[in-house]
Amino acid sequence: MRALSPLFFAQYDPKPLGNALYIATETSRTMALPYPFCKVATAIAFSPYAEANLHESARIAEMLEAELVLIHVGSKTEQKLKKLDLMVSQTVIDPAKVKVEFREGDPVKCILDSCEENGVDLLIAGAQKKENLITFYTGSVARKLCRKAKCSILLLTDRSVIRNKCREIVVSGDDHSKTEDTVRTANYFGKVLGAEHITIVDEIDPKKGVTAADDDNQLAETARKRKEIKEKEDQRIENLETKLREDDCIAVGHKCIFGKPGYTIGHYAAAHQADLLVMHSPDAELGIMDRVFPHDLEYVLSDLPCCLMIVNQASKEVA
Amino acid sequence: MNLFSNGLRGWKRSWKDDLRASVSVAFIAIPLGLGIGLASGVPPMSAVIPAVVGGLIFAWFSGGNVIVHSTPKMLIGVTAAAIITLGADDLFQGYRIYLAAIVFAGMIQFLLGTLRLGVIGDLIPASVIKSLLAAVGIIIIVKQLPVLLGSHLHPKNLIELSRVVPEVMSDANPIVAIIGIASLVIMFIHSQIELPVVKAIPAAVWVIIVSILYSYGFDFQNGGQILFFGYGPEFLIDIPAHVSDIVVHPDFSLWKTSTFWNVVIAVVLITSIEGILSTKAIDRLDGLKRKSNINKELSISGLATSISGLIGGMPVIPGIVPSSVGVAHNGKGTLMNVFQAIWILVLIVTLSSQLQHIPLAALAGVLIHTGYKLINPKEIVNIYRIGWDQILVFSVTLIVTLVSDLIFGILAGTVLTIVIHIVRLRSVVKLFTILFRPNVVSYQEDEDDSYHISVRGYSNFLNYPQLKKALDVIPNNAKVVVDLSLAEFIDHTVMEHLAEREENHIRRGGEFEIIGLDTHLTSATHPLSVRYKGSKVGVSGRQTLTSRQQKLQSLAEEVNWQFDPSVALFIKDLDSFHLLRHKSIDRAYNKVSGNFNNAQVIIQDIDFHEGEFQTKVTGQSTVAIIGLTNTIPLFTIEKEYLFDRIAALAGFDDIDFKNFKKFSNTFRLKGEDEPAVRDFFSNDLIRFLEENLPYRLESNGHQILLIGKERPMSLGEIENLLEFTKNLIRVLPQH
Repeated sequence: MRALSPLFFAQYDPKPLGNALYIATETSRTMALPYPFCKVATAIAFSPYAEANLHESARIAEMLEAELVLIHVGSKTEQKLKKLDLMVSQTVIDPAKVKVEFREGDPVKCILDSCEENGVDLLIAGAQKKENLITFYTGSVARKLCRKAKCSILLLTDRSVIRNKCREIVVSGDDHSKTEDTVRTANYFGKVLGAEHITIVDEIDPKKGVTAADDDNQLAETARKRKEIKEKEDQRIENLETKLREDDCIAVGHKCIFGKPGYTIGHYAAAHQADLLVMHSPDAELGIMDRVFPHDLEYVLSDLPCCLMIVNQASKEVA
Repeated sequence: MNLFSNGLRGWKRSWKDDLRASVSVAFIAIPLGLGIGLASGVPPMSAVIPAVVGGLIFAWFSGGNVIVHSTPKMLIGVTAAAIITLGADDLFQGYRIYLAAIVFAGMIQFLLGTLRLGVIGDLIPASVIKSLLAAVGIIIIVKQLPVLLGSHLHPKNLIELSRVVPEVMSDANPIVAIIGIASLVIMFIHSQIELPVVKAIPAAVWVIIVSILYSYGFDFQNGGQILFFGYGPEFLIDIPAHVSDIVVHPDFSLWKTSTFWNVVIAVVLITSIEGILSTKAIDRLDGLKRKSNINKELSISGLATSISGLIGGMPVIPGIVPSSVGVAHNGKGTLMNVFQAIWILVLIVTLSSQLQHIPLAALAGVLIHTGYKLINPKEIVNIYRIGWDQILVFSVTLIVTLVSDLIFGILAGTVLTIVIHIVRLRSVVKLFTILFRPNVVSYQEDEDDSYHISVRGYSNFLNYPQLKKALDVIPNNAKVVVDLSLAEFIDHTVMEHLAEREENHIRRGGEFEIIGLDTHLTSATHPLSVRYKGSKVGVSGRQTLTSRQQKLQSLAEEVNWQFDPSVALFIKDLDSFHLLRHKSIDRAYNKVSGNFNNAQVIIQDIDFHEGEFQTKVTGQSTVAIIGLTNTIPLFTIEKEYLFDRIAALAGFDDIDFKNFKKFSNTFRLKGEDEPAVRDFFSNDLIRFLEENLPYRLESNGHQILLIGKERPMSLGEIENLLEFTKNLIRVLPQH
């Protein structure tokens, strides 16, 4: 295997992206992974932001050596087709690997149906905050997609994974059957992007440790119980790390934090200026009540700290 | 469960000290209680009962350590108004019904404590609480001023007093006024007198001694006349001759009415608030630095309140005055509370005939002094400096409290604070969403096990419980860094709680630091003012030095360097470093700079962003730059990750030194001109770096850059950085 330091290129090569791409194809071929991303999809419209989104999706698809499905919600016209062809030709991806779909109707439903029919593994959606049209897509559509999608989703926020170097990835390591696959996927994806470090964050519900610490005795008792729980959790994560090393991983660290599950990891990612946050999909489809009383994923969705990837079990079946 | 807070062993050790201290405590508790009772319009002894009930029965289970029970001062206004409304002109009947309200209030408070709701004490904006204290101070003074002067008039509020001032003056009785003013003078100058004999006895006890002598001298008991001024027993305190007459039983007849329950709620609220405030204040007095269990104390004083109400007493709370007298006289434990209760009983039985000689005016002097302390004019100036919004909240609360009552005062102040926050946030929905969202993350750093608490978004008095929870579980001697750099808005109440935490934590032997505030804007020139993030890149001229900046300043002065907090917007030098190439530096500030061994060192905080316009993300960091006089080769050193090691194996770019395995394995050294770099890295330099290099390091030919984590460094970390920089310069070749 010929692996090169991505940072080396980032610093001294005038065209870091091309080289990052090169590493990507090398690693993705050699790595075993639970969820290969063979088909990537994104919604496409005609605006400068949508164009930026297309460029990034194309780059990611190219890095993953995947096909790219472009979903346009709206009527199909010759003019649009021409324009799309032109847009695609300006990106890094081979136009032969691009498929364009036109659908009419409710955007969320169209995108989800198209993903399902095409067997998409990874849906990319932009989530910039400041543009009105994008707000339409992100404020409601992108988040709706996150709640309902059957495949994995990558939400690109303010911090672009591609344009800036992706250094730090934060991945959820809670005690859940999906966690192992999620962490392995994060490692794979991080490697493709040339990330430097992954932190596995384990959120421990503070109710498990004693929360009462009104006086010195209770404080000592809480500290003792928390230490006990932490040691146990540390052991579990270390086992996970061992498995990750078999995959050939990037540098891994972990952090056990007592805090509200779902919220804590997002705040940690923000505090540590992580570039990508990876979480597993929710167990049940999220509905309106979950937004009124936010929990888990809803916390992150309502205030995105950085790019977010939701790894979905369902994509495994497709693969 | 540890039911007895100090345990047998603690009692054995401290009982002698506690016994000695308790004498002084009992002597102060009696005039204090009598005064509060008088001011409230209830039989004076009913306000001494709480100290006895609390000390004798409940001290054993107290949540605190040096707590001595007493009765709440803040309740004076509530009590005076309640016995009038409840009794419908019959004051004694009103007092008995009020006792029933106290019994219920105590039970509710017990529930609050058991459910661990002591946090409600933190949920009231700081300025509102200060205003309540001031309002109570004014109420006390208004009521006591005529008594002090020997007038028969009883103005109800400030406006009425100002109207009747001439009448009060003409109605004044010089014989009575002399002792009244004398006691007021004693209260005010006592703390300034250095004589040990004077100091040994508390001011209020001096007042009692002097006034009893005065009363005997003029024979108030039998009355008399000097010039045109008559005096007699109506100017003396009225205490039942027999102890059994003190006990009065409550009248539960009105318990179904809403007026009754309004009083109950007022009593619960005021008693809990004052109890929690006192418990915290008492903790700060404790020389042994123990922490009281606020919730436990809340429920214990609730139970005590119910019992006290059943036998004719006012509510029970931890009393700040008797507790501080006890601590000042070397009291150390719970037994102090028990002993003082016994002493009070003994004193009342043996001295009640003497106590009857105390002139009311003398007690009025003690009360007016207390009122002045509650108003605390210095604190009002302070609130003004904290910001216009705080003084507005303070004034509104004060006025509403004075014209209606405490409950409306609290409501008005809290609602106004919420309105001001809504105006600041420009959204009602936002305020309510932040209520239900977590905003705090607390974790331990890997390197030194210090606790890092990050606060994000809006932090105000409504969601402070979350921050409190995180702070509560931190061990006493730990190092804590509270990072506010992600917080967009921090209100005055939170700033004040943090300052209090900082003080307590440092006192208990820990380290506590607040970082990330240096670029926040503020509305006034006070360290505890509201902080918020501005949208502009530059910082407004109204910014003041934060405590971190003040510490940096003294750090710079210590080593004879300069400190410059101002913001530089164009930082040319930093752009030339590769390690910062992906970051655009917006501004640099908090510059600590100086010379060392011919090298110019600058340590400063930087704000940077990555990405542009809509993709912009900002961050903060602290960097050091060493400017050298000679030219050195270009290189970077970073911690080596597993991935890099593989790259190095492939024969790429990492310059290794055969003699220094550890250095070569831990760090990745890169440079364009390898021979020159090898030449530059002397054995001394490598050995130094090998030992400990917590930073990333880069040379651009004539400067060396050191970067830490992607957050501003704490003061300790900056001290380390400074030391590291000096040592690095020492081992650099040609220096």
